[in-house]
Amino acid sequence: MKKMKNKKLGILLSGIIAENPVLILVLGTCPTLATTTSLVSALSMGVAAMLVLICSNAVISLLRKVIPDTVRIPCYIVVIAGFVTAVQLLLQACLPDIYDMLGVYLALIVVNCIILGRAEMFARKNPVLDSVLDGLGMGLGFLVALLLMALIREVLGAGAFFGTPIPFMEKVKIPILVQAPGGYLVFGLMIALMNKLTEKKGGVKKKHFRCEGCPSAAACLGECGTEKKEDAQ
Amino acid sequence: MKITKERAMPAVVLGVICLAVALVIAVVNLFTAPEIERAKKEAISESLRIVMPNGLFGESMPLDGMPETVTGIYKDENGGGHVVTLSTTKGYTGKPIALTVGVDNDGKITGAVITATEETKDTDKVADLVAGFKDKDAAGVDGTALISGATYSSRAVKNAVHDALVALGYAKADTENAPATDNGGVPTLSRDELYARALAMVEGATALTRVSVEGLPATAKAVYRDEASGAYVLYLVTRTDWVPTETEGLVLVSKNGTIEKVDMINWVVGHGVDYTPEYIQSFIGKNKETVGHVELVAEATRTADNFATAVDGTLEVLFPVPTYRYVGLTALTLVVILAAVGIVLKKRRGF
Repeated sequence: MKKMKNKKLGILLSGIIAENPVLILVLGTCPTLATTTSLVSALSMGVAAMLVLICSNAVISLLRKVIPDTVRIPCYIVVIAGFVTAVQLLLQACLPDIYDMLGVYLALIVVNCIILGRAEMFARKNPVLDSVLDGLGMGLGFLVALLLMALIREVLGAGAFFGTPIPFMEKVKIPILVQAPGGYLVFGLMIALMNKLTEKKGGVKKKHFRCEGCPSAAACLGECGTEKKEDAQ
Repeated sequence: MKITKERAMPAVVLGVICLAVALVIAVVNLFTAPEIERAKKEAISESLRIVMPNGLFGESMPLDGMPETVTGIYKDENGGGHVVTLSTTKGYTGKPIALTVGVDNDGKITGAVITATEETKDTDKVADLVAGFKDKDAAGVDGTALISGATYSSRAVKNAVHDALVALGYAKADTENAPATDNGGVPTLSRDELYARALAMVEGATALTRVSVEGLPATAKAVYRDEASGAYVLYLVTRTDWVPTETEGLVLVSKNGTIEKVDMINWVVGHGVDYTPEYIQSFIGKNKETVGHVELVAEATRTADNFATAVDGTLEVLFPVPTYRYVGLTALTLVVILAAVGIVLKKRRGF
């Protein structure tokens, strides 16, 4: 029982730190850079993506024995798009300001690599509860990464916190941090810091990504040459 | 080809999933559509309630046949009247001034406010002028005096508010009493007087056509053309920051871009220095390439230069550089660059 609890907890926590989708797996870069100019938009995007991730993981896991292999990607995309559309309609009705703030990036959650990637790598091979926990963990990891990045960019770049100007920051703010170059800079530094913090704690590194971790393994049959290159190294 | 279970199953599963997702989205839409519609109306209403506080507004009514400054007409679903949104490009800087005007069912203004402006002068005074239209009808609006020193801006907003009343049928489009230009220009001459003076500049002309040219500078308030000779008469209005009045002049330009005559209607005399005959004469025979070298008026150099710049800017638009010259120059430049690169590569690599 304890072992099972630890396993469930492990699934949940791995998405937050060891396999953080943004800072370790480097997925979902586009919404990460676009919506982290303010904490409000980062929080909104993170929560919306997390909801879609949890729901799509649950449904795909539920249907994993029904969906044939040949059409699994189109099926996953239809399910994910359905949930994204539902979230869009709900936001437009209940929180129109947030809906306007997120703009096109809300619809782009459909093609977010994190969601399709987790559906392919985890949800289709695991039971519903584990898939929900994985979705929750990955979603929380995405949300935490977005919030950290937005915190740096908004406080140091715009001199504000959740839209409220910080008086003493007005004269020392660094405006480039809220622009694209600054976003990339912050992103790179955060990835470096995360790598440093996790290198001794079994964080996932590129050299461990072999065929079994690759979503395209079934398609390429291991002929991409990645394994041969790593073996040679 | 025989349709087997193995072949059909993927398509069937995908189809069923698509139908199920569509059903879910339809149900969500059923519950959220009224709320979304209400939120849209609320967003529109919020921006319009500044002039009609208790109004509820939907989408704009059709704008066919409306004055060009009108960008939206919204009917108050609570029966309070209408709100009209306007945009005029006739301000001092030539950039749009956006206004919102509320009109009740008796043709009286319930409120008027400037919502966006890039004007750089006397913005507070103009905003006060606009706010002062409240409770006035068409006659009251037309009788409002312009702000001295901000005639462009105040005329622009006054005309816009008049257009709002015209759009709703509470005022007539009054072209007979319109100023000499419809660009908020200085009303030294009436429209007819200006036309007559422009016509007199072109020898042998019996009529001039007012032409509309895209991209003209804000100082070019009107351009007339004699179809017979191809000549243009430019009506230009310029101003200098530190004097309160404007400079107005008519410039006759031949069809090949040479200045033939200048008629100074109104020269700014805020500092007591009038223009000189030499200044006027120095324009004659110049074109867009040489008009920058006119002889300026001593102690009124900025005023003289502003007018010359206005002429230059207008000529640049009326007589642009032919496209073939741009293409030719670009092609020549590319050939030279490629030749240079080729030579360098050949020397370095024995290419």
